[in-house]
Amino acid sequence: MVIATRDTKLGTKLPPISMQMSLQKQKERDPLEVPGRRGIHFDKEAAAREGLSAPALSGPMVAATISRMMTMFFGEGWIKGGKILLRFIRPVTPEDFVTAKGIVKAKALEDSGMRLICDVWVENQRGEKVIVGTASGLVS
Amino acid sequence: MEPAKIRVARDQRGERTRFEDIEIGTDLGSMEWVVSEEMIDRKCEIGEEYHEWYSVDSPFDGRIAPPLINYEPPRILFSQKYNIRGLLATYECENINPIKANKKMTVSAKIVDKYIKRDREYVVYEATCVDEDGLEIFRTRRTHVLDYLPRTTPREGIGIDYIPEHGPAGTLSASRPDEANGTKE
Repeated sequence: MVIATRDTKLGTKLPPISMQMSLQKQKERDPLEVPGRRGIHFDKEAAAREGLSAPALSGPMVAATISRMMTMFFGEGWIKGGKILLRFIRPVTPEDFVTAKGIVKAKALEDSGMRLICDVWVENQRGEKVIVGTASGLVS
Repeated sequence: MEPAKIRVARDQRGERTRFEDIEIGTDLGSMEWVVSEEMIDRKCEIGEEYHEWYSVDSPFDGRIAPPLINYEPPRILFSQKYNIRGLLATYECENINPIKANKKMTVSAKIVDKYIKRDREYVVYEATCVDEDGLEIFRTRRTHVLDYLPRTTPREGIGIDYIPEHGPAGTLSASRPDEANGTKE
């Protein structure tokens, strides 16, 4: 289901996408899967040694919620021609419940079509923003 | 366990790379990258990122991968060149063409900037990916903060670590400029 078109109005909200984070998800994401492997993303002691009060889940795993939202909103215009710039401003812990949100802020005409530029962010269950940025996709 | 008040100086790979030792313009090398259907399944499952284009078929002639699967190869090149810890601070990417299953791609990366801000050390690297037909797949630029703690924090701790010899699941091989020249770190 693609939502965005040339006629999409500025101020339109993107469909929010939520995810319950967990240590298990982070461990599964780890590509190495080496027995005994540890790291700041899923190990309390490793995280504490780096000054973190809890494991900090990897940014891309959290940012996947934004990509899901963009895929739903733009479809092909995100997969081919999508652009994104994100800042990771606060660690996300395994207990957090995160939601990606966005709003259409601008339109730009390009050779490849019309681009809709969105403010996007991810917030935790306390309403604190953990990722902020912009993302855009092409519409026909 | 209380968070440490010192930065990590050493880990299982040895001494950490210092900010001063990272040179702007350094070539991080390149790596061959093939995304298997199993890797796509796994990515979808972990990120709860289900879509028929990823799991069944797409308008791009076959299964494609969620775009953020591109995070790992440039990060691996960064870690292979330097003994890096820390966290991702910014992620910028342009999805030029879809990442297709079982297509051979080459990812190349280099250091493009470094700076100190709010008492922390940041390194910026860029990467590009082209497939075996010469089609550009993505361009990305990331900023990595070397420590969560400020740079004025003493650096004398010992980190608990990754095992660096392994790559991500799927077909993967990497070469670095020093290896291509027949030398080894």
